Amino acid sequence: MPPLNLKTATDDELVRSAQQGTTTAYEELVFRHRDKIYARAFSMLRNEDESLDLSQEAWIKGWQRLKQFKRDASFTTWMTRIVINLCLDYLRKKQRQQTDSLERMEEETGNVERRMPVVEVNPTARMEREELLVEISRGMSKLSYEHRTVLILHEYEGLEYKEIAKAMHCSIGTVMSRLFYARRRLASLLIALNKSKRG
Amino acid sequence: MNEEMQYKLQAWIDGELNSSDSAEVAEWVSKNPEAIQEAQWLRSLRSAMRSGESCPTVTESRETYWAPIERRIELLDEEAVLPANVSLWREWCRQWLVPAGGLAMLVAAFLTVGPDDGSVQLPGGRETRGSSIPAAALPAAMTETPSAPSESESEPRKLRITSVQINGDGVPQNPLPQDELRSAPSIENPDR
Repeated sequence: MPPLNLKTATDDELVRSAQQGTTTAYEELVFRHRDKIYARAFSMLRNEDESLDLSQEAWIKGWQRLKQFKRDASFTTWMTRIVINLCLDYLRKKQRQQTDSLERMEEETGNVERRMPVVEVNPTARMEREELLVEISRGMSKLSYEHRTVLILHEYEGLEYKEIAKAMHCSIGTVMSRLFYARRRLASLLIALNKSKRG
Repeated sequence: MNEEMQYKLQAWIDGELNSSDSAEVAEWVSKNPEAIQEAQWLRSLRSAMRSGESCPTVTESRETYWAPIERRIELLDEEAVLPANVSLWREWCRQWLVPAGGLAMLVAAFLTVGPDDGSVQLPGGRETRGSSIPAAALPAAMTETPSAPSESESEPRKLRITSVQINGDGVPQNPLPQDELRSAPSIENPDR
């Protein structure tokens, strides 16, 4: 078999080679997809150093489990799931070390949702696409990790409610509640921002 | 609009409802201006989020980013080889040392509770005769006094056997007097 040209090889070819223990093939995969994995970690953690560490940790875990990768999804989807799970574990541990805030407690009982103002205008109106993406990202960083994660998993990763519930170890009802609250809060933040910018 | 209907509306927009529930919500929305407004902003936010994502990129060079990953991968690969060697050693021990140890224990047990005719019985029914067994080779239990509740703790009785010479007929060459043998505590039954 001719040696694999790492630059021109497809992801699938690199994965096959890496599964046989070729670290150079795996390095090429890391190089190709590190930004995506890092970005997902950052979207969840909102901290550059932690995101860098956890994204690297995800690549190490990916190497360990590479033989289990069955190609029923793309390699990046598979790696993204790994980094999401690592981030969730990390955030759960971090949360356990913190005292629950009043907001979190109220949120679980539904009080926060009930107190949220009704969104009466289109929160994304009159915003350029690039500006909108930046503002959404900024708004996301103001959400609690549970709300941010539920939005990321649903909107960016395209997971269904039951899949999110499984990943986040909660009920589908909690997913619906968190998703609704997260959207409403994000919409309010965007509207406020829009108002302040337009005077 | 109550909470339940808000969640239903959201689930409808997210495509999470079955066809009958979906039709029901669609009909309700069409007749409810508040629901229409709610559905509008939910849709616009959803579509904005799905249009893309602001993605930061790794600022480290390829080498800097890869180096710690590579180090850990090498360590993992070394660790993966190490347990294989350890398991081979364990397998070898199980195959040879454990039976040998068991055999040694059996021999020790026979030496301890062997027949009183002076012969030493080995597993398989073989006997050794005329051999001399030095006291040092005997198990500690044969030279130490077994604890007997009736005896004084301050003066433990000691066996006088220091070595036993056994001739070819299995008769001890330096037997103890019969009365002493009778009064000597039994290893099996110290009260005897």
